[in-house]
Amino acid sequence: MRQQDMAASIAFDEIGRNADRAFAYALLARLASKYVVAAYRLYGVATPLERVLNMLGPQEVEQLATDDSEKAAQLRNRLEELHGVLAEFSGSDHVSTLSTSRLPIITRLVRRIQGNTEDLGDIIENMALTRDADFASLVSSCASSLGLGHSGDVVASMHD
Amino acid sequence: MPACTINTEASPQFRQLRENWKRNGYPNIDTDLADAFKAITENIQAKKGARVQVGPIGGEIEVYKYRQNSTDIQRGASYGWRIIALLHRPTGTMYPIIVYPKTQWSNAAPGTIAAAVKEIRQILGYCISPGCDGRMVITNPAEVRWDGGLADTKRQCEKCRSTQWISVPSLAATRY
Repeated sequence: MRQQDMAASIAFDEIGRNADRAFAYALLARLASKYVVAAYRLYGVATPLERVLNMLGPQEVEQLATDDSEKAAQLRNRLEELHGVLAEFSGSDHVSTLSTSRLPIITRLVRRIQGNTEDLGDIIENMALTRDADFASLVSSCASSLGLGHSGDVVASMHD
Repeated sequence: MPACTINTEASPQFRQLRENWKRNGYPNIDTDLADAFKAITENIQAKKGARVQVGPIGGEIEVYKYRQNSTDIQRGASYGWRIIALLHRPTGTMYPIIVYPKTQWSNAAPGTIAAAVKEIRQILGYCISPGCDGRMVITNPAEVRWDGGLADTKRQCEKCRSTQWISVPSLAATRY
């Protein structure tokens, strides 16, 4: 295994662990009825979620999006599942109730999670767009319409 | 932060999509886009700007994706517009090429996104058969059928010759 691939593999493991942790706490947070428990579990969601986002810079997102290994596919699926549960949680009545809490920490944590859920959604969208051959073809056509070069490269890459 | 100039009129696809959304429930799209472009002109990373890898496009062109609030949706940036633009690095010119409302991509699953890309391609008059990048044209002689008060026109791909019944209002004979 090349050194670069090994580094990517280790990074994927770390992102996956944090995604798992955020996922587990998100499930638990849905069940929290007491504010103190909710605050603890929301913190348990927010912190690993931020770690995931911090580790997914533009370069890592491109790498993960274009990696065809089974490990990368599993991680992409895991991130989609995490986003699904967080998006549902962020828009739930339970979160609306928590947001009205007099504990400012809960309101802050909910906002952090909602904002980061949007950012995670953007990352997943970007990866899906990168892997979508129809999107590449569309962008290629648009580039050609503008008379911009290199659109041939895009088409070529779709058929590799 | 890097700045750029924005050419909003150069892309026929972008003009067509903008007109489509304006006619179909988003009358304030021009105001929303003006707001986004003002910010992007000053900083290409504004409006959550992120580079999207589309094949080895590299070289002189980069693809960017932005998100912008919609006056007509009024539910925050996560439910607003998504703008795809090409940056021509030698001239520092950004060309918006695709715009779509987020409400139609309610979740980020690849299947949903693929369906949305297909819808955009259909609005723009491209063939949606797998692997084909041909253009759909009205059959000769033209065939029209009525479905729930909407007129569907039969189209045929210039390249793969597949046919489709298309009822998207904006498709009405827009050719460029």
